[in-house]
Amino acid sequence: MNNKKEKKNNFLIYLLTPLFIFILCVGILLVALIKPYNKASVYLNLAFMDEFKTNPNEDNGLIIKDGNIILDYTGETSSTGEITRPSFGEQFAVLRSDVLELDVPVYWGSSSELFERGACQATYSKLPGDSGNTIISAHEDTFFTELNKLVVGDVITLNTNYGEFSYTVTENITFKKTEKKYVSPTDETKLTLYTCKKDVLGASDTRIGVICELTEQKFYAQTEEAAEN
Amino acid sequence: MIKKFLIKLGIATFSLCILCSAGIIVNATTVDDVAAVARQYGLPESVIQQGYNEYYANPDDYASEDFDYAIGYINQYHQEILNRFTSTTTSSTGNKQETTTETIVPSQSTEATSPNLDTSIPSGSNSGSSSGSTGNSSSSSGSSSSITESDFINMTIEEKQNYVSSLPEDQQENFLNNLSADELKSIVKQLPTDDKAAVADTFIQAGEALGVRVTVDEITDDSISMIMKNKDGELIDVATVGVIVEDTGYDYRKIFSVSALMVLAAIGGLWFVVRKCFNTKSTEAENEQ
Repeated sequence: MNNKKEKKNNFLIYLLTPLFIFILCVGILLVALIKPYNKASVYLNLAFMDEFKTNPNEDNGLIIKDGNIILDYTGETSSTGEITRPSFGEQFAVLRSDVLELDVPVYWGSSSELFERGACQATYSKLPGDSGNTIISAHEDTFFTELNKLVVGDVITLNTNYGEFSYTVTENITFKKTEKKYVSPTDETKLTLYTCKKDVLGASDTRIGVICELTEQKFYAQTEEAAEN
Repeated sequence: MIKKFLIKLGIATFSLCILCSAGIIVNATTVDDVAAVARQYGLPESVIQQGYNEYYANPDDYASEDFDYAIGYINQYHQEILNRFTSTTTSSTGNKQETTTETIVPSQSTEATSPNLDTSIPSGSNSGSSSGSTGNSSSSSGSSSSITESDFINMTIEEKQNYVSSLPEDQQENFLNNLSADELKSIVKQLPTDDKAAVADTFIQAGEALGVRVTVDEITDDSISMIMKNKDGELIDVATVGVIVEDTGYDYRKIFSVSALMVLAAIGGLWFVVRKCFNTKSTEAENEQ
């Protein structure tokens, strides 16, 4: 009788103890690794990004195009020029700043798939080079992790295939998700960047960002040739 | 004599033909007219570009009547916004005056059986514009009003309604018909949800006329989000009337909840096992004593 009980207890100890320890470890690892995993996936995405690839998403029809954006144009430029309107889901710009860790790819339009790949520009906002509010947002955990480090006077550059646009940070902003004044169209030409405020649980109702004024715009004279080079 | 008369008659007929054909060319509606009307009434640039894509893929397939047809649907979209705006005016102000809120619902098929569509091109359309939906310069200032476009946009819907009501009756229609794309959008996003849905319905039909399949993604108190695809099912835009603050954070609450449950279950299980062991050992010790 005692032997039977002992066997039963041994069974509990040898089988259930490792199982519970395993579950405990998985639970702790899930919490510990979720943020590093998101960050690593961003670097992997950027590292293995082809020069120009299309990924038709059959579920929702989204076609993501990763463009080869000109970053070192040396030809003639002018202060006025023609803006090339991208298609929805197309990478049309690269956002650069000494403060931000990465050269952030900027996509036209926003969706959860595009937010995984870079920053997204609202299609109701103005393209760089056009007069009005250019509104770009990205995930707090990935591309805009360092956005809160931008201070007044920092320079931000948007490189597109039709020109290079330089902005200077003029204001740091904090606003609630329900407030629309910073993400509304304006007559004034400016760049608005925003992301979520850091929060332990991830999603926050508060947004932080910067408003930048346009300081220089250079339209490329020969965009097609430049793109080929 | 007869020969001379026949020659004169021939020349006269030929001249008449040239004049008639010239007249037809001048009056024929073009794809640019459709784009101009669409821009004037605030249709997203992506929809307009898709319309151009459809046209330039097979330009010979389109006749002037097709463009009239498309303009008819766009006019209907515009009219629906104004109808909803004015009908809301009546209900909100308690004005007993009769309002016409009936919606002309065209047949779903896009066959040539033309529904009751107003295919006239608005006089204020700026066909040369290429600056997108907000490039329309026909503002409220065109109608003896002293407010600017941004003043009107920043008004609440009640203030807008009161302002329009305050205008002389003969100027109200003129004012409404000359609203810019941005002013129209500001009205749409302030309309009640049911009215937004009705406007979205006419937008869907206008989109179809331009070769775009539109589905309404979300209607909230202050915005409408619509998904637009081309005939191949490719996503061409997610257009929003009203502005949206994006969700730029991952929501970890579910993951954290699952993790917390796993940790708690594991700790509970280990506690149970340890307790069971100690109980057995203490029983054994008691038995040995």
